[in-house]
Amino acid sequence: MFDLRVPSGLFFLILGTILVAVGLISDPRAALTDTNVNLYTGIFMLGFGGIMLWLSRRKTS
Amino acid sequence: MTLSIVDYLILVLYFGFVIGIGWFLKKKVSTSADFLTSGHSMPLWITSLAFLAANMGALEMIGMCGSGAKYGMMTSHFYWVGAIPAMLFVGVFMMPFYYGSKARSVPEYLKMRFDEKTRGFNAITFAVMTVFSSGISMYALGVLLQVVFGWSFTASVLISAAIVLAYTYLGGLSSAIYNEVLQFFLIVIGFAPLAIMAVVKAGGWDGMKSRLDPKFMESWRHMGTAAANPMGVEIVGLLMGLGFVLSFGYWCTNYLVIQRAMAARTMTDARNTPIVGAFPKMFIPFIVIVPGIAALSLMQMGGGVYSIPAKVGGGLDYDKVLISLMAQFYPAGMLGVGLTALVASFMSGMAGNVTAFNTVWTYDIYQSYINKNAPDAHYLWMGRMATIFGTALSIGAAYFARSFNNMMDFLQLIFGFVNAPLFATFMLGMFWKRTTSNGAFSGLLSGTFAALFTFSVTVAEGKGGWITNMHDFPSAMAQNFWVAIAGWTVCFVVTILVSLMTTPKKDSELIGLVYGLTKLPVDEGAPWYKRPPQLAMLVVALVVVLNVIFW
Repeated sequence: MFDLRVPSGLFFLILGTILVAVGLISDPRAALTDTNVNLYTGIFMLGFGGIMLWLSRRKTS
Repeated sequence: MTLSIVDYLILVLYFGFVIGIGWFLKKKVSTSADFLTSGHSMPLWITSLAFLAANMGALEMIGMCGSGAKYGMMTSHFYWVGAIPAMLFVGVFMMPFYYGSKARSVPEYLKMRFDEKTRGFNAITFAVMTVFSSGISMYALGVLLQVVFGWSFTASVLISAAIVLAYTYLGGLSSAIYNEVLQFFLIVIGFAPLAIMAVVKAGGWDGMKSRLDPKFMESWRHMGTAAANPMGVEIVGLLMGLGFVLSFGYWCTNYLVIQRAMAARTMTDARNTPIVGAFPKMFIPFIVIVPGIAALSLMQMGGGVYSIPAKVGGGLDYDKVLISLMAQFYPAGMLGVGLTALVASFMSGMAGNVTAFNTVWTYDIYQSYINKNAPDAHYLWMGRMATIFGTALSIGAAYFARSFNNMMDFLQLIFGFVNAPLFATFMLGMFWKRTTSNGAFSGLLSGTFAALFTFSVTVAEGKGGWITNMHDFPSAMAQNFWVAIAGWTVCFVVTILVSLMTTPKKDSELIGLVYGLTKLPVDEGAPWYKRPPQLAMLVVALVVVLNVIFW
């Protein structure tokens, strides 16, 4: 059985990278958006994905 | 409203991962048990998150957010009074019998404890219910995507069903469970920013308090009489109907969720699955209900900042609250994430239904009544076929729902009648060894009819009262609760009476199935945070604190 932390870590790293890029490059806003929500959520996802991958590596090594 | 390329990219990325997980798990599947029950192989953190996610369907998320706007903080009762006590109860008290009996499914437990007819009744009603409930949620999602994004109903129904089919067909229950965990993370990360932004925009919790009637901001204070609160429910109906009959009936007997716990590696993990799941569960109201309340508050700020979409025939369309908030708050990028989270919640709900359906069909209907002695490879094949025709039937049900809307209301009602008495049957069966097979079966039937009868003689919001009108309920919710209470009580009483008049099974046949004849698991020696009762106490303490804060 493979470790679920690897694909979910990867998924959120990729998703986080996309959001951070969108936030930094164009920072689009919807009608009621007050902050750069793409950037902040993206950073959070990078952290979450990183922790998942780190946990999966720590266990096997 | 239109989506940009980046939103579609996120949706496609997610689909890729979901199918990829199914593909990787494919080589793990070699027996029917691997495919249908994951062969007791899942670690605790995965089973507990899957236990939660299988219940967090798209209808759940959309409905809870809408209820937040309609009823306010009282909606949290569905979590703190409804779900959590039942989740703790099934983990601490019932899981030893489910997991310990070595039954492969909930209907199979009924067969071991009672007899063939009780199993057959439960297996068949459950199979029909899973097909219709995944069809109903498929229909709801299809309509929403059609209305909001202009996507074709047929395309959104077929594409999402095809993806669910792909990963459940490839990897079976393991694949559904793995994906449910990924879906859970995505749902939380996709909805939480919306909750934060909506509350901040509405002036924070204090700003919302200053604008809204206190009835919407407090969960308990207005429960004394049905007339005093927007839900139209008084405290007895709430505690008995929702807190006891309906939620225990769902969380403790519904194979869809129990199946996830039964996939755990050990008895302790199986018992801890719903209990550990209760920790995140108690905070879900903050990401689904609170945005709904914030939406109502934003609307009352005036100035045309935001308004809840109106229904065609007048009134507010609460089902659109969640998606209209997303459209107003999420820019390109996050909009893709939020929408993908919604599609993910739909998929986790549907995969839950499909994987429960294929197991009950293969083991409890096909192997029991149609083809008893085939080699295991045949049942594995049948499990895969059941996945395909289960999905096909759900699609059929979605189109059925589209053409006969009233018919669907009716069916959902019938499911309520079937579910309510079931918990009485399980409770007596597990904890009173004198309960007989005929007692259980007659209790189940009469309980179902009692629920049906109660609905026929009461009226709420124009529904019910087929025979006559003996009582008016202030809301459909109050009616549901009392119908469930009637079904449960009649089942409970009839089961006891008939059991006392019929011969019980011998004690030797009931070992492992009934309290008092089963060696209960002892957790001595394990640290406190791994023992189900201690963990459950911690959950209770935290939930009490939450209820006091939002009293």
